[in-house]
Amino acid sequence: MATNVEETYLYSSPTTFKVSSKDGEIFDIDDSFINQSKTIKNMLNVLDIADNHMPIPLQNIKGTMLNAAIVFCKYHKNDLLSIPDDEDEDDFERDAYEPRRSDDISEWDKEFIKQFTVEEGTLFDIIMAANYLDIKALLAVGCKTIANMVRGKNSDQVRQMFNISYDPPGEGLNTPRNSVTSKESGDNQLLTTQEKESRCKTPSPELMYD
Amino acid sequence: MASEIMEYDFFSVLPNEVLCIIFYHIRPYKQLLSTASLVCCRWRQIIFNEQFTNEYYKIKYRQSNLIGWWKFSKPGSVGYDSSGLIGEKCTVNGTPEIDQCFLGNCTVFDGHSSIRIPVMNYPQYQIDFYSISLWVSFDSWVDYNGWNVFLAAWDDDLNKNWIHLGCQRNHIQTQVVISDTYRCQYDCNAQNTHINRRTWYHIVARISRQKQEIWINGKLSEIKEMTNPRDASTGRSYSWANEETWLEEKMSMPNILTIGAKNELYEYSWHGGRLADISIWNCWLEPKEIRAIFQQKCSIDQMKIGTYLFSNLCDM
Repeated sequence: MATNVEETYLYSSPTTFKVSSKDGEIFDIDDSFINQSKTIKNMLNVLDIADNHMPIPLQNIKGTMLNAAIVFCKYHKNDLLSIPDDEDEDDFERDAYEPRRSDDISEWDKEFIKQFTVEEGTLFDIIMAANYLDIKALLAVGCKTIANMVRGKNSDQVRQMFNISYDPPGEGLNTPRNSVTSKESGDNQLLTTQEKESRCKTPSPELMYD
Repeated sequence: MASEIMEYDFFSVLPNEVLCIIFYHIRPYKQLLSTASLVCCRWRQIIFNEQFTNEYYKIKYRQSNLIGWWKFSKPGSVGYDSSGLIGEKCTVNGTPEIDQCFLGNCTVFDGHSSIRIPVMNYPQYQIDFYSISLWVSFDSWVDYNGWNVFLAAWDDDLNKNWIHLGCQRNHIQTQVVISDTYRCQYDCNAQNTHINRRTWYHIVARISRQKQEIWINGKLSEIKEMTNPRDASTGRSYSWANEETWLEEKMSMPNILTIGAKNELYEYSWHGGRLADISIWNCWLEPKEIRAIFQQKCSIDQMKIGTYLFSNLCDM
């Protein structure tokens, strides 16, 4: 919980660094980005980079996504004041003396996330970028956006909207071995709902209702 | 081009921990079960997991539902609201003392102490659908026919009568007023529970415009319907109220929330008893949450709903 002095000052002499994306684009990043990206922060501490002219390679992130993440962090730079930086996310006590509420997506964030779409997969790209860079606020906005899209839909609609197949290829109930008319299973009878459920080895949703 | 791209299942590239974060934001739980868990095997396997369910119900994902939380853990600030909404903005009257209990901390009330929290300017409190959870223990058992009020937002002069939660003659009771015009007061009286001295009880009040419920130690003890003016306990000319338009009449809203007494006059003060882990929610706590809190004897931030559900699955 206590701030490590070394951790704070290792990267504090140059306040801007360069990062390069998967497709070779180079960006300048400053404290607003470094403080929100735990990955970059750790990288700078571990690597002890003194020369800020050499770009730090971020091979997993496209330039467009990196640029968007930088814009997001610049806008949210002041949010950091109320978000404690520690490793123990389960310790709710940390919030006790510094009220912080994580309500719905703000208007700015809603507008920001609109540039990414499910159809082109860019919404997933920005989520993956946020996850790789460990930018919690951006990850939360992306995940909440997907959650809002799922809410109110039935499972067929969700599968259709995101092009999800029920089972991974070669696995699950749809494979020949497990199919409802499988000869390999030793019976040619149609499986009842109960039998299908039992093959899933997970409890039925109805059991979890109150 | 877009349609070609869309043939790809982008979810397949998301790691499980990211999918979990998405699922934490799909609420209520019933929707997660009835929709997301049926999308595919992978989603189902993530969702039907004890640890996932424990995490899903953690307060950090539900802070927008938690509007008040007094855990009495901040030194020197007995009235501190840990929900993040009100914080220090309260007045402490008398000397409510912080003591240790099985949950961590509790507050001891002596009949001349109370914590007053002005909530009139918080829209989060101007609601007619909410629940209150608290732990209560009677230190002394005075042969007292009056009220011992645990928590109230009750001001007759201002017509602000949101909730009155306390104990009268060994019975836990809640009161709510409907309609500024007719002032119909509905009392929900849990008469079937015997209260012992020096024993902790978990009490939950679930309130809506239509009804009040009292849960004691994980069990539903009493329900009071408020859909008919004739069912009111008291009221101003309530027998003249129009039954057909009754549901249009609004619930009385809160002005000042008082812990340990009915109001600033220490009326019906909580005399010789302890309160712990008081929480107020802008939703109804689910039965499984209420049962889990009682069974696990824990504070709301320690409850493990997944553990409760999976260990009791055979009984469901």
